[in-house]
Amino acid sequence: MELKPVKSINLEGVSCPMNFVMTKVAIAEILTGEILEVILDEGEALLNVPMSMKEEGHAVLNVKKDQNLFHVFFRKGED
Amino acid sequence: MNNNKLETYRKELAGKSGKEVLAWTLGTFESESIAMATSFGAEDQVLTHMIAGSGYPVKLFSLDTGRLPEETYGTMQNTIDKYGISIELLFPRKESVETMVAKHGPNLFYRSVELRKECCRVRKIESLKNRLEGLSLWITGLRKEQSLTRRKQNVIEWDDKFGLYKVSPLLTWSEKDIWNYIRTNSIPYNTLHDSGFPSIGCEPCTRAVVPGEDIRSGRWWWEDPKNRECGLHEPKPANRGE
Ligand code: SF4
Repeated sequence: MELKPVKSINLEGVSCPMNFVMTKVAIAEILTGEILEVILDEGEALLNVPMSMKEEGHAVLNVKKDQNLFHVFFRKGED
Repeated sequence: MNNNKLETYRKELAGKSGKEVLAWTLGTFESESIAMATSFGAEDQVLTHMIAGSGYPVKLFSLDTGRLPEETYGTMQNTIDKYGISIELLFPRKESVETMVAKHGPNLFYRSVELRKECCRVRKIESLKNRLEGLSLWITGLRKEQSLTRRKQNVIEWDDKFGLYKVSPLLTWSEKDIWNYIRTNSIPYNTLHDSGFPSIGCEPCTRAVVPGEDIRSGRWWWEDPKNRECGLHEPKPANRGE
């Protein structure tokens, strides 16, 4: 599946819960149905950030590993 | 399978927590090429919570042998309702079950280890094999503590029997870790656990154990402990008999 994000943020080195806060801010800036790409270090944030985003009503589409970083794709839910 | 690749994966996963192992798996393999097998036991519920709770599109499936206890269906329904997910139920081939039961009777498993294994093959392994075909990796809730045959497992193994990688994120978790996680996160669990069933499988092949007894001693309890695997997670030949 080809994912075309309208926005991408790099959260390398940013730990919990700041990474979630920044993801939330970023998704607030895009429209419902659009895709946000979040780059995270490996670690529990890869599950924790999506868990929190899902609770907020956004969909987690996929995660891809690139070197030591992970690109997570979210689709923004209804406001 | 590529041995170097397995070694690289093992190095990458060394010392990682259960959540980290799972996150690594979801990030490293295409989501269409992985699946998780659940039997709705405590460990599987923890993994289901992590996967379904984080919303990654990983397929969950379960083997409905036709002999599962009612409580397991209750857990299944509660899990589907809580997470809003669908869980694929795999049924055995009708013809295989009919032939086996006609030949050996419905409760053949109590008669010999061979017949018990035949029942597991017909009711579980055949459908599991079909389901895993074409996948790169499956996720399981195995833990080292669960049996003699699971102690030498690595968090990632090449599963020779089914021809794909097998990842067990909770391998080093203790029973206490599992229950703490279940309680903290209000995860639905099989109520049979409250009645002394640590490991739950088919109804006729599972019984309660008393505190202190081996976790898997409630499964196929009439057999020698080293036989107590159903063929889904057989040890490598070198580990046999430990
Ligand atoms: S656990 Fe028992 S009933 Fe279930 S498939 Fe195996 S032998 Fe048959």
